[in-house]
This record gives sequence, structure tokens and C-alpha cells, in this order.
Amino acid sequence: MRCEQNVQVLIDAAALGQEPESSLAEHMQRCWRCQARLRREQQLFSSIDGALQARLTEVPRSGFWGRVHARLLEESATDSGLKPSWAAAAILVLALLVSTRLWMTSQPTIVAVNPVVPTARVKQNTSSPTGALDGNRGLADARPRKFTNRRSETGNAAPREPEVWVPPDEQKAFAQFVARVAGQDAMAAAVVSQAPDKTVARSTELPQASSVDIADLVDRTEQDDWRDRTGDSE
Amino acid sequence: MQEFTWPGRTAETELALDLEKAALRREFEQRLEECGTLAFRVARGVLRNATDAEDVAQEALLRAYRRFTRLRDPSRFRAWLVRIAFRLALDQARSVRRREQRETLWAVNTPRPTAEDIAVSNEFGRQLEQAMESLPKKSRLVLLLASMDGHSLEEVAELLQVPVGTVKSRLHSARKQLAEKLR
Repeated sequence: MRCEQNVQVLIDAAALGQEPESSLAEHMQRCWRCQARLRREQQLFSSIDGALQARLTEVPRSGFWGRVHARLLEESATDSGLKPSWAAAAILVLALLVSTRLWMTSQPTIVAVNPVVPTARVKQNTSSPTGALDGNRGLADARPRKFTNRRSETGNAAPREPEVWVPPDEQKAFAQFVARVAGQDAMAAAVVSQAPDKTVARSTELPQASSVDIADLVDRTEQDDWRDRTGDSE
Repeated sequence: MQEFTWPGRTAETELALDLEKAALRREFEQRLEECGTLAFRVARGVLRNATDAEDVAQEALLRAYRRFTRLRDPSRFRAWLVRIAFRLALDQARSVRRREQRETLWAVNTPRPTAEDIAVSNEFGRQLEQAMESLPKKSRLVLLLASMDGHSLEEVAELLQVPVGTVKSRLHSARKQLAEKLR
């Protein structure tokens, strides 16, 4: 048997403080290397045990127990339960929390208002492809009617876009107006951009009217009087 | 200055509480005589100097006293104290190591120790300490307890609430690891 194969067995035997197993006994008697190795390992473990035991048999110095007893007396003198200072601190923190909560609930709700990005929406009369200027109702709808933020009125905090109803043919002019008012070109671009509501079909065609009656601005008799007074030589 | 009194407490209840505390302290001090040295030795097994071990043992005893009433099984006091002392000692060892590292950085230019200094400083002891620091906690505690005088493997097993076989294997493994590092 080769000596290298015995090393682990020798270490185990030395660690346990036992003699090597009997199968090695014959080899150990003949091999001075394995004998030396076993002695070295036994010495090492003995040194380890000796160093540990030397340290672990120490006792504390003379003043140690006096200090410990003094600290124990000190501990037992104070209330082992909740100390008054801690209780006071806990009550204070609780009171602060409650008052903060009450104050927050008593404050009026601040409604966040989106920056005004006007969007032009075109209300179309779906029954007629000719657009919004169809009849009296169409004329009424064609005017820019409202530019209000309903959220501030109703107190509803849900984000909604402001509504601006503009007929198709007035969109460009309205955009220019808004841009002029705001003094910002970017605003104009935002205004003329298409509204997110894609379901509304836009019509850029001019409305077709079948017949248009044009009446005089003033009465004919008044017109003649005015000519006489001014001496118009027409 | 008048002593603080909780609302609703009478003089009788105060007296009863004082008596209870005194009885508790007496009981604890009785146990202290039996196990106090053990706490110090466990700490000493982990730490390099006796002063640190005394500080840790004192802290462990105070903590044990504060929680003494919560200990459901008084017969487990010894094992409980060993664990507290061991944990505190490990914490202390870590902080000492960090402090030493900082001081080493500051003292880079200090003169190196002479051969004589090294010989005096007990090189084997230093190496043993380093080797022990690298052991797993469980094996380390078993090694410390088993190395103390008067502790059989059965007692160590009872202290740690593990089977004797586990103690044996942990001890054997710890000793072999130490030897490997010191060889």
C-alpha cells in the first residue's frame, strides 16, 4: 500500500485520538514515514486542544462579578416594563399622527387642472354629409359656443380635455386667434391637431346651399331720403 | 424629587412589584453563580483578549436578566445563556476586526515588528484564532463547548439541543479543518 493513501486515515485517527485501524498496523511498523506523519498529526491536534483549553479555563478578573452585580441592581431599580419617558414619547407621536390626519382631512380638495391645451372638435351633423351649416340648427351649432373647463365647475377630478366646438371651416381662423391670444405658435399647432376622438368624421368641404335670398340692409324709402339729404348726384 | 408612579398603581401594588423584582433578582443571581463563568469562557473562546470577553459576558448576563421572565423552561437557562454570549461575542469579534483594519490603514508607515516581537507574540495562538474564525458558527460553538473542562459530548448535545452524533461529527469536522489550516 502506498503511503499517500494512508494520510487521510492517519489524520482521522489523530483527530479522534485513536490508534490507526488494524489493517494499517503492519505497514506502520515497517514504514518510518507513516510513523512520523502520525506523530506530527497527533502533536498538531494536541497543540490545538492545549491552546483551546488554556484559553477556556480562564476566569474573569476579580472586579468582574462586582461590576455585574452593580449593573443588575441598577437594572432592577428601573421599571422592567414600559418606562415613563418612552410612554410619554409614544403618546406624543400618536397625538401628532392623529392631529396631522385630522388637519389633512379638513383641508379642501385641490383639484388639479391640466394646462389648457385647446383642442378643436368639430361637431358634425351625421345625418347630412354637407356639414354643420344645414338649416337653422346647423347655423346655431356652427358658432363657437363654449370654451369652459367643466371640471372646475363640477369638482370632478377625472382628467378630461376642454371642449371647444368649432365648425370645420372656422378651425384655422380659430387656431390663429388662439395662437394670437396666447402668443405662442406651438399653441396654434396644438389647436389644429386632430382630436383624439377619431370617431368623428371631419369634413373640409364647403357647405352647399340650394338657394340664398339676399335682402336689403335698409328699407328702400329710407335710402331715397338719405340720397336727397346728402345731395347725391348718382 | 418624587418618584414617578403610574396612574392606578397603589402603594401596595408597588410593594408587590418590588418584592417580585427582588425575588427574580435572587433567582437570577443563583443561576449566575452556576453559569456566569461559562458565559465568560464562551466569549473568551471567540475573542482574543480577556477584557473584551468580560464586556461581552457582562452584556450577555444583563440581557439574560432582562428577558429572564420570558424564559419558559428555567432548566434551559444554561443553553440560553451560552447562545446569547456566543452571538454577542461573534458581533464583538467582527467589530474588533473592522477596527483593526482601519487602524492598519492608518499605521501603514509604522516600523515592522522585529523577529523577537514575533516570537514573543505567540504565533501559534494567533494562527489558531484566525483558523477558528473561518469555521462555521455551529462547528465553532461545538468545539468551544467540548474543549471546556467538564463538558462531555452528551452535555454539549444537551446544551445545544442536538443529537450526540451531530455533536461528534461537528467536532470531528471542526478539528480537522483547524488542523488543515495550521498544518
